[in-house]
Amino acid sequence: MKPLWDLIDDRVGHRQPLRSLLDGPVRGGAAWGHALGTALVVLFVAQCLTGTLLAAYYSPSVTDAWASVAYIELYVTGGSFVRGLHHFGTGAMVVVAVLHAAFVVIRGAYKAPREPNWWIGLALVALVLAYPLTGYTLVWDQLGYWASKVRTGITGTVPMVGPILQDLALGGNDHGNLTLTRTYALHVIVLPVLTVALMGLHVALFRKKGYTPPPAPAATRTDRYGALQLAYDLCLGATAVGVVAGLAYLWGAPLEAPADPTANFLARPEWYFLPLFQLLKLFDGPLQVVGTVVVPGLVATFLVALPVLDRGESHRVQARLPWVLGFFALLAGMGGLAGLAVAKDFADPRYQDHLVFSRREASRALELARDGVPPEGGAFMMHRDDLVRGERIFRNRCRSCHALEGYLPEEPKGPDFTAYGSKAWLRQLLRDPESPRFFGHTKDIEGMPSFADLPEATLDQLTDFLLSLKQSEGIEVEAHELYDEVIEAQECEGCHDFEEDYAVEGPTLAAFHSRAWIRQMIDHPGADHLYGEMNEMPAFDEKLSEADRNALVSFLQSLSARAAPDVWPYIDEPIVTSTQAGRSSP
Amino acid sequence: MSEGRRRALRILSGVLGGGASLAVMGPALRATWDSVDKQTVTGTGAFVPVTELATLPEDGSPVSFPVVVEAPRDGWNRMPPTQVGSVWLFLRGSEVWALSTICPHLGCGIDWESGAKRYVCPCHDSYFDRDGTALTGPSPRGMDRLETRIVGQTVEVKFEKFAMGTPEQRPA
Repeated sequence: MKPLWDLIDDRVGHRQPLRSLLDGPVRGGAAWGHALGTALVVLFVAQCLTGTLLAAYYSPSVTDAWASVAYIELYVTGGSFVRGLHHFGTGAMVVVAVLHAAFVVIRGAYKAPREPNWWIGLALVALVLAYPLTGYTLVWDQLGYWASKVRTGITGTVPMVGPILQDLALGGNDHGNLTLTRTYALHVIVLPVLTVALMGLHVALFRKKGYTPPPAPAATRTDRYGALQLAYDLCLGATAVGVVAGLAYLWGAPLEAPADPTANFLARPEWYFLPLFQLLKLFDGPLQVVGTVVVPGLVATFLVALPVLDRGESHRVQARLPWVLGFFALLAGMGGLAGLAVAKDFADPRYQDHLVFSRREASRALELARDGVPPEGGAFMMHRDDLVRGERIFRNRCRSCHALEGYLPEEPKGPDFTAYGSKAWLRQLLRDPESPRFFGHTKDIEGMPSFADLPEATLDQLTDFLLSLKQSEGIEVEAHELYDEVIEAQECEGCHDFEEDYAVEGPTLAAFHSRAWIRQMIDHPGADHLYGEMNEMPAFDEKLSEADRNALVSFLQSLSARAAPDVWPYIDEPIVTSTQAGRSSP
Repeated sequence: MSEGRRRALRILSGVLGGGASLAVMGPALRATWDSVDKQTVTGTGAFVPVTELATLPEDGSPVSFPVVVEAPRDGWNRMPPTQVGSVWLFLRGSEVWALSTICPHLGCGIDWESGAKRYVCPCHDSYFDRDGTALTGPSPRGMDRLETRIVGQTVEVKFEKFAMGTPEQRPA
């Protein structure tokens, strides 16, 4: 083998540079902090690799982008993991870049003669942050789409150049195919080329000036790079990739429902942009530009000016305390803003409600995509699905009066729809019809007796019987085994007809809870055979299209299966009648 | 730091480095290999109605018809009815014959020369007679015949694609 290596060395000359690398001095001795830069290079190489794989499956068009990402998640073996690697790799680069900068600040490594490398480093940090900005848009899910809307909106408000920058970012006047194609070009060509160039320059300049030693007297020791620092570099780089792989394995990359301009989404940026997000919230109205341009501009200016501001000879932290503290106060401030943003969302029921909803839409979208996305795209696929469409209508048109799964309207006027149509729901309705969960909020619907005194077994039979009615058009109620004991004895038929659509006091139970029955309730709740004169709900036959009303029925019928008992804790709770709680007026 | 600990660290760095490379490269290679032998584009292998029997010329000259498949998959898409290819159909006595328009040589589209009464592949000048038998040119085999059946008055063709460039007919 030896002669072969000699032959190669004669032609390539690899030995001398390799030797000078391994023998290079590490003044002050090897340190873990020195390994952070190498870890960034390692992470970047991994990002290039996983990114290339994703690019092999990705299609940058409005109709295909989300669908192709969903395909990676659903159908490419190892695809979900590779996406996870790419996703968490970005976060890891941000973390390691900040640590790298912090170590540089502590050592005073930005000081002369290394100022240019500090500035190149800052440019590299900006590049690291530009990847997720473009990458999230590429997914073209609800998160990426709405986050991009906000971002380009902010860009547009920048004085003078804003509108031009916005058009350049979008590739025209609005989000569309051209936004995706140019964002893709930025993400996979422009940014990587710039990164490689600046990274090369950064490393070359660093090699020229060498490691910054700790302040004397510790600086006297000098190591060979190959003796220990190389091992530190490899260990840290590998650990960073290992952590990324662990996170990718545990959580994978998120994928929201496909981008949909008609369905709003409470977009939150990735954690590393939360400080900016919170700033934006602190300065609203005419002051917005303070949060979007002025404060970030001041921070950037401080960072760029650091080597100019801190010009003393000493590298000792004590001698440079104002600047070191300033840097860490900045980091703490960003952390505080991010924490504030998270805490606000955590305590905001509107956000939590939206989170549950968007998770459900996301999982439904993947379920639908399994069968193939129509060429019209993911949003189209969602619009034609009755469950998705029905829930969106319910949230827009029904929730102002009806509660659902923990969401309470300000002025509830009708029954809660949590677990609607399930056995537990019906059981509780029979036990406590005047509870605020059912007719407690309706002024004129009253008089239904409670069946709480029935033996448990009989109540069980009764609910089964009532839920079986949706399969039949109209039944011979006298023939039922419960007829004498319950239906006759409790005078059910005094208010409810079981056979045809007779107008009695209360709504008909013929085909109770069938699609047709629920449709009638939506179309004409005040019809004579339904709530008649007691009704307070608007008729929706002219307020919603036929397709919308059918979708709503499908959605309502899906509620019985979907809510877990812990979502509706009031089911089977002790009886609360309207006189005890709920109604404000007698 | 003692020489022993330095050595231990160097070994650790090798192990960690190898592990991290595997953690990324393994799934990456798996994802790359994913497309091998995978049915990413569907729409072949089933009988598809192509035309009515009455539309075929009495004299037995071939006519090409598009093959429209109901809901083929293409990667992430489920398509609406889509033209996935076309076939040459002709009457051979009382039989209906179907020939693939895909040249068995390298996959170009085959034309019918009505004057010379023969098929030609314009890419590399392979010629075939009406029944698809290879006459001259580089094609290693005759045109690929497809199964047909008549349902009522409708001609149905089992649309398939075959490997190119081989003397024997093999599924693609």
